[in-house]
Amino acid sequence: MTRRLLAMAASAVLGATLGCDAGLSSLDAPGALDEGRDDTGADAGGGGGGGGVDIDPDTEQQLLTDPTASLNYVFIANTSRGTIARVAISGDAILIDTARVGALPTEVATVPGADTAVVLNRGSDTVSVVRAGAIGEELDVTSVDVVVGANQLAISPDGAWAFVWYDNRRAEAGDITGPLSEVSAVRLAEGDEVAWQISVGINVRDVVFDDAAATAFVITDDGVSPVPLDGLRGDEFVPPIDVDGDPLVTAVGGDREVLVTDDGSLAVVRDGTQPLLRFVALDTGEVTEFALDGAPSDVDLVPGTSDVLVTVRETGVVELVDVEAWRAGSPDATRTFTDFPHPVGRTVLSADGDTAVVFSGASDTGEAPFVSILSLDDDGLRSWNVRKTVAAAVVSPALTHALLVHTKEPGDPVAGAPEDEIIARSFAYTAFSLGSGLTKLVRVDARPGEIAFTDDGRHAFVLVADEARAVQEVSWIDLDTFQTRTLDFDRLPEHVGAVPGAGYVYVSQVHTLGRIAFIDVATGDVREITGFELNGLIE
Amino acid sequence: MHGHPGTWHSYRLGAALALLVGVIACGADDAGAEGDWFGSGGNEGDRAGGADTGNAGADASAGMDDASLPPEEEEDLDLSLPTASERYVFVASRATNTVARIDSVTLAVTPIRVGREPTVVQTTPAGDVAVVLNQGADTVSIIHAGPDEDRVDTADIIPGCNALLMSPSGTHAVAWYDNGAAEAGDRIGSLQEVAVIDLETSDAWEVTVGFNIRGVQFDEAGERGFVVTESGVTVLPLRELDDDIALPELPLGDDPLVLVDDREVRVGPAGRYAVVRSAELAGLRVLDLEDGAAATVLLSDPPTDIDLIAGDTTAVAALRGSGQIALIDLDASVAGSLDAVRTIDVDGVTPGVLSLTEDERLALAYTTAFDERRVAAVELSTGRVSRVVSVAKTIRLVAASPTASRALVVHQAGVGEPVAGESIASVIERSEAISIIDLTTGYTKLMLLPVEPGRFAFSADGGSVFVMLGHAARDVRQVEWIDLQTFARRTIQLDAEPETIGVVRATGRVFVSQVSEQGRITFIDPADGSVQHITGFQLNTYIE
Repeated sequence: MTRRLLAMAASAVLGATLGCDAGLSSLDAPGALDEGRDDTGADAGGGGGGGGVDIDPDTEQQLLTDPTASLNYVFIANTSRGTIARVAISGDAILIDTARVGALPTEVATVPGADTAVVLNRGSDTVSVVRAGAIGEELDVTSVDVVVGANQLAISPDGAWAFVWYDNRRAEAGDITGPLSEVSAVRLAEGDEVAWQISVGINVRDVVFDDAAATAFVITDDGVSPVPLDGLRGDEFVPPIDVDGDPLVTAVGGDREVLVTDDGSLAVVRDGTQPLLRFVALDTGEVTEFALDGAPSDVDLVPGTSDVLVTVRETGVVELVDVEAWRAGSPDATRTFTDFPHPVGRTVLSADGDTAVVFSGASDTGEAPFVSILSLDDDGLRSWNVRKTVAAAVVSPALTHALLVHTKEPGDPVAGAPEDEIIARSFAYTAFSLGSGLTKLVRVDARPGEIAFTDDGRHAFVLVADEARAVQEVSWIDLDTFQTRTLDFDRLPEHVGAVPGAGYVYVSQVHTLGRIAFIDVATGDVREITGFELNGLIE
Repeated sequence: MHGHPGTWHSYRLGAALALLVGVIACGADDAGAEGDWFGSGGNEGDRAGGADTGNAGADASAGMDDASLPPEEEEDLDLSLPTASERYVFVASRATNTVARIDSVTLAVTPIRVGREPTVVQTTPAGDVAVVLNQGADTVSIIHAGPDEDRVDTADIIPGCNALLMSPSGTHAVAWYDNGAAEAGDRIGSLQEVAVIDLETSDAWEVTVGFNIRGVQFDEAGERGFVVTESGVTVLPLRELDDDIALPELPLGDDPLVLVDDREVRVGPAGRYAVVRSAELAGLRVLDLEDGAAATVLLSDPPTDIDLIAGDTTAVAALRGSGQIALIDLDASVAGSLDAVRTIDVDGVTPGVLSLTEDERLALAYTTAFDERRVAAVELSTGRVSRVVSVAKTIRLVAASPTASRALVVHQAGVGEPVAGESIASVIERSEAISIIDLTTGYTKLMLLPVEPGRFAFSADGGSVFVMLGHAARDVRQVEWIDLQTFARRTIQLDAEPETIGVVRATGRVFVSQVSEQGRITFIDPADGSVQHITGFQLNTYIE
């Protein structure tokens, strides 16, 4: 379980998360699980010792966290040994530094734009702040105590704070049940690291931050607790702002999605199958309900605005709501889009919020699959036929292309069969130019998994791995030219990600001692290292 | 007002003395606890249903006939455990016939020889006198503790006593035989006599009272004691006693020959009135303890809980069946006024039990009779329900903090063991837990616990609450320290299972005695967070 969940965390860090329907969670880290290593992990976890465990590199398997990229390096924690490794590339060399953190480090996140990693050590209930200087300098590690049983970690956009908490959804039988109404706020300022206990509502689901990193919003079943970070000086309780409209009703464990706008002024709530959205002013607690013709199948916040893009699958409507204007009573607060030549159910926004990719993840509509590009600037709407049903989509950082991941029908493609059948039975993704509508369908040998873009958005790397099919590849596509290249690996690829400041993409692989490859995007060279935790050899 | 072991009054005792020691009647095992909770033939179905409701709210009572509901539950105090005087903690050792006096300032331990089988130690926080019931010798030892030396006097008392209470003034104690606290093999003491001990002169008088003693209470001034029996109240004029005596009792009911099992008698701090409730009476019986006059005040339903406030001039009654709180002017009632009763509608919460804040400003209303997960804060002066708070689990008890700004809720765990990662509703339902309520904002923090919570104590300033957690089989030996300002929680690990907890007024330190043949006690200073353990004080003491 640890690795599966870590895979999810890594996806978020990479900034290339897939816009998945609920049913598409299997797209996360395909083939990432290795049953043999699961057993080892459980044993190591149960031991609780972390650091200090002697491991025979010939026989013992290591439980490692997913790689996490900082500005220039990749960090990987060895859960079994209670250490963290910094992996760096210098010229032709791959350099490894390790440092001891706490017991059972399971979650690693990095500070945006820096070479600092924050590690949650579940065995010792501590958080370690790991600062990496230049290559050759020792890693600096500072640890503080946090709430018992924490298993989730989030870092503020400015890197000043980390929050950790217990998320029951990530726990497994045998885990400690952590506190349901507490988070630890960890101040990361160098030399001034400290953790405070913040009491919030019940069942913490997420911690998000406003863009200014002035406030952390702890989302619970009781509502949203806004934690002002500037004034945080010690343990505090922060009563949740009710998002139900009735503070006496708490839907513990209910199907509810809460989003907070970038400026932290508003929470948008989708509640189960109710045909409405709730808007909650986080300064006053005022709750207003926005009626819809059906239950929303998707809700997105438009970055940098108070606009909400909501999709209702059953009526085929996408609606853009300027929430501030709507709450002020403006008649022009909503724009409705209905002219889709296809069913709609999902929208994926570009990072700048100007463009939405609209599609339906449902494959049983009986209609030709389409994808629409909705320009929120001018309400422009263009639709294109694609060859396969779209399961998920992601817009490149350059905002020029989208990658569409497709569903697959049962059966394997057979050469000579009708083309439609071959396509239907193939795993595939499509590179899609948002400007021209030009597409390229890329057939691959297994279900596409994680996707990583280079910083400039020109290159995309798609994990294609399936142990049962002996598929161990990464599909590399140049989005300018649509040229594709398949990189084969000796071991099952597990995660793919970009190191923003270094011009490399890493591919971690399933290996007893840990194995990671670095792809030089400029030259195409691939270098691998095995057993990095044990200062293994560079191959 | 003081109560006796075996009645629910004793929890109020803690509040009134600012020791604020709460006690939860722990069963020996889970099954026992459930039996206690729901009474015989407990309503298991109700609780199982609650497990799936997540937040049952007030509707849980819909369709219920109040008469069919179990009685409300409050908690007991075991008086055989260590207690604190103003400066010292006294711990009795039956094995060595000694009492260890532990100085909360210096942590020095002084062993004091008392009589055979000391079982109950009583103190008051206002002085440094302790009285010890030596059950094996039928004596009491009176310890006048001083910084330099202790004076110990002994008085013979009637045989077979197993209960002891000290008056709030610290001048007298009363010992008696409590059949409800006795165990098989114990001697059966007198059912109609109490021993009244003058702690200054060490005289002990044998006083014959009514039959079958249910409890003893005192007025706040310590002038009088009140022995509640199955049929009446006997007033003990403590300072006037100078010999053995038989005292008449004031009858509790209209017909002294009618005995009522389910009856609660409360005497107010001023000792002016006793009020009596019974499940069989839709009203209250008011007894003037000075002249013996009695009146029956009719109400819409049988009260399920009563308290006395405002210097004994007002009784507060929970009327569960009609969803009301009644305020009864006792002077007017006894005078026969028809306007003696004022009622407050408590919407959204079933007022089965009332927990009053120390300032008597608020009544916290809730029910333990079924799975309703709400608490109402009711302003008694205005009759306004100032806040209704939803909690996550079935309520077992509610206790207001001394500052009246927070409330501690102890919850009931559902059937089965919680498993991390299962549905959050299941985890919550099956876990032992407490909640802290901020009575100002309504914010409520649920805290899951590894085992059933034991006794708890609020710190002297009301800023913290300490909850004992002990379960030898599960290797849980700890105290949860909750800061009531920030709601932050800290766990203090102990080496042995905690036995009791309390606060020493002079130093503000919290003590936690632990199950240990050698003697083990831990002092926690809420001011600086320091924790110190003393072990082996029953043998040769030392400080770790």
